[in-house]
Amino acid sequence: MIFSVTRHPMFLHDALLNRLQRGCETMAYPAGAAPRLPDRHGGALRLEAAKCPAGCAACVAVCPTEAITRPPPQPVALDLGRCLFCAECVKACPTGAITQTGDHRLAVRRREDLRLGDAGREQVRLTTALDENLRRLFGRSLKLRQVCAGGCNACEADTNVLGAIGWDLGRFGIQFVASPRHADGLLITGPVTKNMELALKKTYTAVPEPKIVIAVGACAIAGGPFIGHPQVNNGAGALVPVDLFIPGCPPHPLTILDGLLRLLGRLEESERKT
Amino acid sequence: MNRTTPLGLLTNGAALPWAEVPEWPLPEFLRNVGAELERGERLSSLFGVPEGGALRLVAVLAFDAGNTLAVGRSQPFSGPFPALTAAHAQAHLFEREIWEQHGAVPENHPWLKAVRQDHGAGPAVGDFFRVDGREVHEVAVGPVHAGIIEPGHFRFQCAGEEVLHLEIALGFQHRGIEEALAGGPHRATVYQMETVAGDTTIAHATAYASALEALAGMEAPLRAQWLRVIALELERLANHTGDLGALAGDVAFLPTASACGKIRGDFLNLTALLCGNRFGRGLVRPGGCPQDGAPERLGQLRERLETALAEVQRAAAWLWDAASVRTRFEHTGHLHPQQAAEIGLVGPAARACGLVRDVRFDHPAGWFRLAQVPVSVWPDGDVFARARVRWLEIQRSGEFLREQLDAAPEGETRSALPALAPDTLAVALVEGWRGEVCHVALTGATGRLRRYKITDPSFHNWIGLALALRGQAISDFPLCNKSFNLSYCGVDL
Amino acid sequence: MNMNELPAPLLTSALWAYVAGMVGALLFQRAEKLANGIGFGLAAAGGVCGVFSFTSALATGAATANRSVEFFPSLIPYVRFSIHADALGCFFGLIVSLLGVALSIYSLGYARGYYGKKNVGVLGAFFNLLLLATTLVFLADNAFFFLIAWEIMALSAYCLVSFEHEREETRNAGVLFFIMSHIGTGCLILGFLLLSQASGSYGFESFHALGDTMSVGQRNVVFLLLLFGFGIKAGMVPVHIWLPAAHPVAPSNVSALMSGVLIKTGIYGITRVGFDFMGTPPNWWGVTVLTLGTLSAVLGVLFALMEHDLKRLLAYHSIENIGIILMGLGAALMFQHSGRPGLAALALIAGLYHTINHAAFKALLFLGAGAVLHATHTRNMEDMGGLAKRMRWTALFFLVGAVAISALPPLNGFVSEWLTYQSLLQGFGTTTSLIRLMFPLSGAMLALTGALAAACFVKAFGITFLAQPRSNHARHAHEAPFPMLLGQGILVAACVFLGLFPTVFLKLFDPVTQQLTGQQLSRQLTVAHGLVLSGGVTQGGTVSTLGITLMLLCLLPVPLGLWLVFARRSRTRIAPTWDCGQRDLTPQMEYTATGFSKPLRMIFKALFRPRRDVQREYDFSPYFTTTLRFESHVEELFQTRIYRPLRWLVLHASRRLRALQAGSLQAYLIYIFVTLLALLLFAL
Repeated sequence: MIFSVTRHPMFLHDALLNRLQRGCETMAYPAGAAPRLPDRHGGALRLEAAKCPAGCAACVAVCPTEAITRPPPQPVALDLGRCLFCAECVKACPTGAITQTGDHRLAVRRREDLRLGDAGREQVRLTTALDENLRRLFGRSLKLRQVCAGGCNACEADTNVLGAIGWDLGRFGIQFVASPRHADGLLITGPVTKNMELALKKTYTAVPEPKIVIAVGACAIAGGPFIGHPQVNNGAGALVPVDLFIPGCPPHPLTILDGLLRLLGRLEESERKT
Repeated sequence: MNRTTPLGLLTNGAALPWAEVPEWPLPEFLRNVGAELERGERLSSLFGVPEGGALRLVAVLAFDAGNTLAVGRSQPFSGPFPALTAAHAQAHLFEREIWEQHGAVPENHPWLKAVRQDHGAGPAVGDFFRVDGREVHEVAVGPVHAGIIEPGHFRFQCAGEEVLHLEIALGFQHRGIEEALAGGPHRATVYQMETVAGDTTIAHATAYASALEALAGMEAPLRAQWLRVIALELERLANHTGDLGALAGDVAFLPTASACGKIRGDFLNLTALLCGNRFGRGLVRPGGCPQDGAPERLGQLRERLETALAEVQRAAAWLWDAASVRTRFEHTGHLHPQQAAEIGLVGPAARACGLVRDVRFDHPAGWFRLAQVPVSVWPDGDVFARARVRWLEIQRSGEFLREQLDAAPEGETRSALPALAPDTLAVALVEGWRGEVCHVALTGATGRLRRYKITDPSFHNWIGLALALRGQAISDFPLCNKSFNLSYCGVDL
Repeated sequence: MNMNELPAPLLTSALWAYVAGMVGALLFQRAEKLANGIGFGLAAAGGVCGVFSFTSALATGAATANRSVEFFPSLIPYVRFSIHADALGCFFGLIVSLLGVALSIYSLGYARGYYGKKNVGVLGAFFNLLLLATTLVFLADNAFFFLIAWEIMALSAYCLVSFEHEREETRNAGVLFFIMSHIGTGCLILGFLLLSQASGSYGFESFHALGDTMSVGQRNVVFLLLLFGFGIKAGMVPVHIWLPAAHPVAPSNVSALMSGVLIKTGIYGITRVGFDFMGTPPNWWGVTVLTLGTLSAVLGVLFALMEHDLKRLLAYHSIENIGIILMGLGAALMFQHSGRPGLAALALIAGLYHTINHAAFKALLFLGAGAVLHATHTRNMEDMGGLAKRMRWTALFFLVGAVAISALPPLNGFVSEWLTYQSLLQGFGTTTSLIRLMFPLSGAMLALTGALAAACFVKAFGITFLAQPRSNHARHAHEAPFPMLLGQGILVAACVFLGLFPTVFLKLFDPVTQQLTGQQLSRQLTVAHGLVLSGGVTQGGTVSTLGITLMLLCLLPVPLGLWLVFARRSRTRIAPTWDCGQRDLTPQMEYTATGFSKPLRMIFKALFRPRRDVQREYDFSPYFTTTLRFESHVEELFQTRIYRPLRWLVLHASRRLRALQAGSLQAYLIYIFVTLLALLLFAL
């Protein structure tokens, strides 16, 4: 090896100096403004059914997960739970009925809140906080057990990055734990393959009451790109009751964080403060 | 290549009419393939193609020294077949998969067990190997194991703290990707290709796109090939940085762990700068790249890249300086180069055993035919070597990106994909950040996909982890696991 | 014949009860239940009488006033069948009797396991004989009677050890015990002969303070012989090898008696020799005893850690505890030499307190092991597991024994080890020579022993009782019958009493220390109206086990209150252990005893010289193993390094000497003639 002995203690000095120079690298959000999404990201979709020309099904044909349907009497329905946010429909639409808003906020409490198309439902109805009781229990300390039930590792990666110093999930009292017995709830990714059914059920049973379940990613909500495969269950909702849905493929870490904070009622708090 | 072989030669990213793929009766096919493996060539893929009620076996070998691929197929047969694994360990998991998918029994296979499904009911967690002895106990971990991590089952046979044997059982994430490809490509196919292994989106998508382009008899525009390579190297940078951080975290060396956690996000944001998605979803499509980058965007990319590279240099330097880290890394999870060669290891894990194998170097395709990245090799085969190879690759990919961002070709990035040729076989290999990604596409008479075989580098490498743990203390398992950092869903498909 | 006050009738009734029990058990051999009841019932009765007799003798001070009592006149010259219940004898007699009670009650239940298989009457008879002989050993007051009682004790112990003689292991262990015992007896005979030669008679009275009048050489030889002889019986390293062989194979009540009482006869002997017979001992005697004690303690616990046979593990712990007792005695001898009778008394109390403590908790542990063996038919811990749910009371009692032997407050092991530490630490200031370094060194070794003992019992309790059963027998284990539980319960009560009320018990030591060192320490060691134990001869520390217990009890309302307030509102759900979401957990996934001790085996590699056999079989490539077999062994250090070479030496020398046995009559006549000549010359 070509390391010189004299260099050894220097890393301590260098690391400390570096840390002092860089100061606090954690973002100010939610006390400050949210960081911006990458400019090509697109964010949440907005559907204005009124702009849909009659007889046009351009978007229906290009959607890989059949998230867009034209069920009569509605002109068009877009299920953001099935959406991969590939933006093919945005490109295909001749009238711009489907647009990208660039908004990172996507998390909802109820599955039907992800279905756009009705009048007044052009955008997602964002999640409300948990009820008073649960908010008192989990508001300042939420321990989650993550269960990957067939996920491709992208949702996992973007959940993992929330623990890094930039995002620092720990400052909200949210932590990922190793044993479901220590957890307050589950965070599920992946379409819940048949092979993971038993494990997911056992993990859910092992979490003490009261518990919550968060489904992250298109797969966990409705099966993602694998919707309809006989080897998957098309989402966590088939097996366990879900309290929070965060769409995306994968959802941007900001979206996940926004969802978690909104669930715990922490965002309203900081909005009230500012 | 200056020697003869009965197998059909093929370059990476090229197609061959199915009828021209050399075929032999089963025993001769196995003999020919075995002879090549005996010579030291590598098995990239071995799979079955059902034909009527019978089965054909298809083998794709990588002749690294000759910079060419070789394909061969057997005539249709039914019933059992003599296992190649008996003489060549490389084939072990492929033959288990053939048994599982098609029911053909490889005779004399030393460990015949399903790969993903236990007879169609639940994951492949059947009987495990057991060590005889009253003092030996088992430690069974998973599928839901500690951390935000994919599911897998690890069965250790331990005498006290020492691991005598490790058996890894996967299959928990089996989503049925290969099965769904029959009759494809469908609308959802390219999205499924991107999520075969979600952190290896670019490599799998590039392999898929290359295979389809080969089947369509075209090449993607030059600028698209350049853009694909930029994205591939960015993917490599992000994941290797994350790995170094995770390894540091496992030995409780927090300066590097926390720094790399952030820098990885910076690299992912560079990919997002190109296409909006941190993992590169939507960047690669058969026919080219739908989104291009204007010079200002690429300039921004270049600037942010420099910053991130400088930061990761400093963070990694702390890692190499700390004696406590080296004590944990060195001589842990050791693999012999001979073992690595015999089991067909690929990627940084193989290069860390001193094996010089890198698809960008041995089978250059796309932009790599015009520009090269030096192969990063380290001789020792332990955790330290695997970390070291990652660091070398970060440096070299960084250097490569700097050069290439200055040498962007002109032109379009998109072109329409013509119809796929019928009855044609195409092979595409890409050096993903874990190693060799191999996609083999076979069209049927109508030009739709008849059989599509995906081999993620983890398919070759999981046994490497199992071997590396033999004789180690069980407390070193998380460290060894992270030093390999293999994909669970890449194997499970 | 001088009849004394209250103790004598109780004492004689105790002795007669043992005799009656022996006779009765033999008479009613055929009727098993009757033999069981009579034999062990009378033994228990004898034990009760003994306890009361000896306790009152010590408490009222009658012990010091006791005189020699002759049973019946003997017609053999030099041999007097007389006993003298002096303080030291009474103390050890108390130990025998206490254990006699508990073990006999236990045996009432344990012997049921032998119905129809073996002769319970014989078991009962020899049991009573052993108790009788041991009590007489402690009370004997002349050398011959002592040796007769000693021999009867050894023979009855041999018969009991070989009770299950169908097994080869038992037979071998019995023979080893027999041989070692007689080597020891031989040394004792020589030692007593030398003593009687110096004093002119065989009575122990005449041996008193004899050492001061003997020549230095003679004194040293006597001490060494008696130390060696009693050391063999005590199980001192390096003459301990019979202990881990004999204790496991004996029936569990016998193991408990042997571990609890038999080996204490060795301690009794060493104490009697060192303090009573030898007057002021030279320093190196104390140093030797202290060193041997330290060595026994450390080696005993280290070998115990490597065992997965439950009873062998306990046997090695006996060696460890004998070592601790010897440390106390050795320190006392050193203090006696340097003229500090106060410290000597303290160390003596520490050693003797540990003696009775060890008797209590070791017997308790052996009884527990016996119950486990009774239920699971195996001694191998690797086959047990999950017994805590199936044998609740046994598990609880075993746990108490484990806590006691690990010297955790507030039980009795803690008290005696604390006193031992006190004497060792205070010893540092007594001399200025380098020898004083021995004290803190021994103290450090004692600390090491304590920690290793605790680790060993975590293993013993955890592997045996916790998790899931590892074998079918363990799965179908059932709780032990009531007499066995009662016997264990008595000893638990003893452990608790000895732990919580040391200041009360200390009063019983006064006559003992008065007799041996001329000091009475109980008042000095008792502070705050008996609530606090002090080590305070010169600036010692203080501790109050009673106080600790009371404090813990006072804190109990806190969790209790919290539970009452909060637990009512939540539901309790009983669910299987978290298993990472896999299908089943199997007993194969539990830690093994050997696995638990592996790290320690590696640390002390030089001592254990572990050897492992790994056999790997594969058909085509080593990556896909078909079979893998793993076994590990630890070298039996003393066997291979000392005894086997010694045996070779003896056999080799014998073979050479065989040349003398020429077979011709003339040669033998010449031998006789030459020997006679030599003796006549020598006498002149």
